[in-house]
Amino acid sequence: MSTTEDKTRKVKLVTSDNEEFEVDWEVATRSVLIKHMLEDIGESEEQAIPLPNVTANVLKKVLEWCEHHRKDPEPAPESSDDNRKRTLEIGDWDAKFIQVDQEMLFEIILAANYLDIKALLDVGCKTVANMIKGKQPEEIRKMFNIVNDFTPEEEAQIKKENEWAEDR
Amino acid sequence: MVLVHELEDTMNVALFPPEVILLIFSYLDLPELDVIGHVSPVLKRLAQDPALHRVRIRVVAPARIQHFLFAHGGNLRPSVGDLVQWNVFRGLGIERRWRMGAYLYSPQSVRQYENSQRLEVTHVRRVLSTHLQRRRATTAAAAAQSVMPDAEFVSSPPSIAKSLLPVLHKLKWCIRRDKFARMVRATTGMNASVAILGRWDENERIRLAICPGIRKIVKYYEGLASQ
Repeated sequence: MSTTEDKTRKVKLVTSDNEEFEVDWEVATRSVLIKHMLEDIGESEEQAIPLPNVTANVLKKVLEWCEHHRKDPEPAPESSDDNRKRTLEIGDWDAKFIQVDQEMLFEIILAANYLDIKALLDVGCKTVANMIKGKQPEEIRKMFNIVNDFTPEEEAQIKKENEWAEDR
Repeated sequence: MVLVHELEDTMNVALFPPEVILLIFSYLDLPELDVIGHVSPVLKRLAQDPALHRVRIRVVAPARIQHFLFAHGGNLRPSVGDLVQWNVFRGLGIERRWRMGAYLYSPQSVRQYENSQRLEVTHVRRVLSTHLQRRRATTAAAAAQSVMPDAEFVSSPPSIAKSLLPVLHKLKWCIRRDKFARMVRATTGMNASVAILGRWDENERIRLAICPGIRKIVKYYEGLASQ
């Protein structure tokens, strides 16, 4: 795989709703999944890559992110996890990028998880973590549409477990 | 409309792959994870996942300590004085001893400190209780005077000052005693004293038990009778 060819090479992606996207190789390979698929297919073929878990509007958004971050250096494979700063700070561009409605945010997270784009997944997860911070359980349930399916016994148990904390 | 509603129902954090949820949780701190534990059973289980705590111990805690000790050229590092103030270091006269280079943080010194604290608490408790008791006694007396007005004060003419009341009591008692003595003398004379003496012989002990001052009173009346 020569780098000169990589610069000009295009990759075709097909979403679950049968929309076709043609993007630069460099942009598409931000996704580890697509990169591995391309390696499996081989260079010669001009085959479209199906992405059955992603819809067109989400992929458009994801590709927008990939386009902006196309020059980013590859993160080091495993050491990155240990060195990863556990701060909730998000870069300026990313913060603006992720200002979408909640549904889209979740779709982007799922797509980033599926496509294996670690940096984008981090951005999404940090955003959700920021949303959770400082909220009460009831607010979180409402925000994420979670039904309170604790049984009364479980509720009582939790209350008991937390009695010591509520004294403070 | 229905479609949108369905979509909302399915777009639910709890339906995310667990690894994504764990990644989100890895950005949260313990208090938030505790709140998450109240949201739903599935999330509660995930919030207690050992992987999170492994990350906390191996990544977050060392990073924090690193920051605390070495960031800004070590300016954030707390001095012994700070540690004493935050109650991390406990002991008697730590700062003084530390400056002298003589302080050793040992279980012994902590025990000594705790004992001194306990002593202080008991001392404070004792001082407080004695003060309270004293106060109660004085206030009770004051309260009794103001709550239950003196019968004499009520019946006597208002021209008498409150401070003269004890004297008034004494005078009235004297008048009453004289009146009684006169009455006894006038009515029975010898008979009364004989009757008293007769009974006295019978059960002196019982009478003494009931009324210890009876001898004096008897003598008084005997004196009256002989006059």
